[in-house]
Amino acid sequence: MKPFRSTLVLGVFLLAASVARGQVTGGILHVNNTHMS
Amino acid sequence: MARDATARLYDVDANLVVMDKQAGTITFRARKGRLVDLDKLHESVWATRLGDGTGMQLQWLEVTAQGVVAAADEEIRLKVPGSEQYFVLGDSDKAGETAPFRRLKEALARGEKVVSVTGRVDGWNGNWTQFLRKLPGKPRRLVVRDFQTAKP
Repeated sequence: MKPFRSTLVLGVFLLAASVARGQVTGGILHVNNTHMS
Repeated sequence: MARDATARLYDVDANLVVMDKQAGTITFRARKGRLVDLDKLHESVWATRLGDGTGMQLQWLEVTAQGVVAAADEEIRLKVPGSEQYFVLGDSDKAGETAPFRRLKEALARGEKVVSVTGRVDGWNGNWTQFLRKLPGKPRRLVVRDFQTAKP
């Protein structure tokens, strides 16, 4: 999977993860950025 | 832009997911009135198969949780409202990063009400493929980096 597409897919899934019975109001994922550029 | 594309696709607040390629961070926050479930976050990232062959690594996951912070069973816990879920709050094992947890304990000792904690989730790091194979254990431990107290 190309890096750009990978990060886009990750963003979409993060968004879809928002549900009513969770635990956190938000957060930050820090990923090694070699695959984000 | 990936972030803009995401926002358009899901008709959401454009600030919901912010990706900083330079810093290697993806910032997210729950929709109004909701909370993000870390189990589902793990499951969703696993479903992308992002780890396969990419060499990607999760450096850390930092989250903010709101709730009631109190001592229990020789631990300091943040209990998530409306559920039995809680985080065990802890200290960093890195020199120079222990001040936030110490300050939190001092605040509790003064009788202040801690209502929100920001910290890194213990065990949420490493190679994506390895990390995504199994959901890290519970109760989750948060290495405290910041917190907020109720306004008097």
